[in-house]
Amino acid sequence: MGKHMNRKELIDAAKKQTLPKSGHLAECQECRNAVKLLEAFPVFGALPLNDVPKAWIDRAVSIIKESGISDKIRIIKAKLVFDSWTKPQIVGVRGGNSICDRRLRFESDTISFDLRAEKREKIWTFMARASKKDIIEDTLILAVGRQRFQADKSGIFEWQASRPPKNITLHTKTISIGLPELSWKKQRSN
Amino acid sequence: MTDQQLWQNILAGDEESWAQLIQRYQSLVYAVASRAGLSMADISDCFQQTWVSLYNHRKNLTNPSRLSAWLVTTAKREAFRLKELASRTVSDNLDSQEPDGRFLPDEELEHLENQAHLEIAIDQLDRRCQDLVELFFFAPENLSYKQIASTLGIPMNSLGPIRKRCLERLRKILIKNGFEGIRNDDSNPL
Repeated sequence: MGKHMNRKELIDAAKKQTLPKSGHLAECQECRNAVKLLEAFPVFGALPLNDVPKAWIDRAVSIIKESGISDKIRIIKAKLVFDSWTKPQIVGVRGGNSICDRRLRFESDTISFDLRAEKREKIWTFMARASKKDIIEDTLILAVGRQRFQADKSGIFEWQASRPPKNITLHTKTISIGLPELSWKKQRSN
Repeated sequence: MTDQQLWQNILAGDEESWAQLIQRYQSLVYAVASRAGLSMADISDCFQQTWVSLYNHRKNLTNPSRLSAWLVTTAKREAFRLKELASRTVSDNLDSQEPDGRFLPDEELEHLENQAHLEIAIDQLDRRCQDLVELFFFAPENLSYKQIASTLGIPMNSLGPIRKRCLERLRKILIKNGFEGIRNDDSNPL
C-alpha cells in the first residue's frame, strides 16, 4: 500500500474533490478519511472564529429569564358575544319588577363562558358555566373580585353577592382568561 | 450534548441548556454579523436580535439539527436590515446606494457554518488532540508535518499515529453532532 500521504498531498487531493481509482488513496482508508475531512473543512490558513465579549453572551442568556414569567402564564382576553340587555325585552314574559335577569356569553380561543345573573330583592345570584376547548386540560378557577370559585361536578359556578361584579377572570395553571369589564347599568330604550 | 438534546431541554425551559447553546454558536452568529460590514453597535444588536428571534420562534423550529443554518439565516437577515437602516441614514446626505446581490453570499455563510461545526467538535477533544487537529486543519497549506511536530513539541515519528487517533475521534464527534458528510462510505469502494 505504500507510505501514508503527507499533509500537502492530502490537501491537494481534497482540493481536487474526486478520489482517484488507483494508487495509495484508493487503498488506504485512513488517508481517504483525512481527505474527506479536509474536503469538508477547507480552512487552511484561516483564523479560528472570534468569541464575542462575555457581556453579549450574558445579555443573550438573560432572554430566557426575562421571558420566563410571561411564558408560564398566558394572558387571554375573552370577547362578549351575547348580552341579553342589548336585546329588546319581550314584555310580559318575565313578570314582576322585582326580578332582574341578565344573560351573557363570552368567548375566547380556549373557552366559552355563559353567565346568568338574577337579582331578587337586594341579592344577586350568579350561575356560570365554562365550556373548555381542547387546549385547557386543568381545573378552572373563577376569580370574582377577591373571591375564588371552583366549579361543581357539572362544571357550574354558583355564588351570591349584594353587588354585581365588574371584573371576572378565569384561571388555569398556565392561562389567565380575562372577561371584558362589565357594566350593570341598564340602557334605557326610547 | 447534541443540538437536539439541548433543544429539547430548552423547550422544557432549561436555562442552562439555553446558555450552552449560545456559548456553542456565539462565534458563528458574530462571524456572520461582523462580515456584513456593520458598526460594532449594530453587530451587537444583530447578535442580540438573532437570539431573541430564536427564542421567540422556538416552538416553530421543527428540526433542531438545522439550528446552525437557522441562526446563520436569521443573523444574515438581521444584518441586512440593520445595514439598510444605516445606509438610509447616510443616503439623506449622500447618493443612495442599493445593497448589491453579493451581500453575504450563501457559499461564504456555508463555509462559516462548517467552520463553526468543526470548532465545536474540536472543543470536545482532549487538549493534545485539540492542538494537533487545530494545526492539521488551520495551519497554512505549506506547513509540513515536521513543522507541525516541532510546534506541538512531539517527535516526528509519533505524529502519524497520534494524528490518526485524533482524526478518528474528531470524525466520530462530527458524525454524532449530525455532520454526515464525512461518514465512511465503505460500501462504495473507490
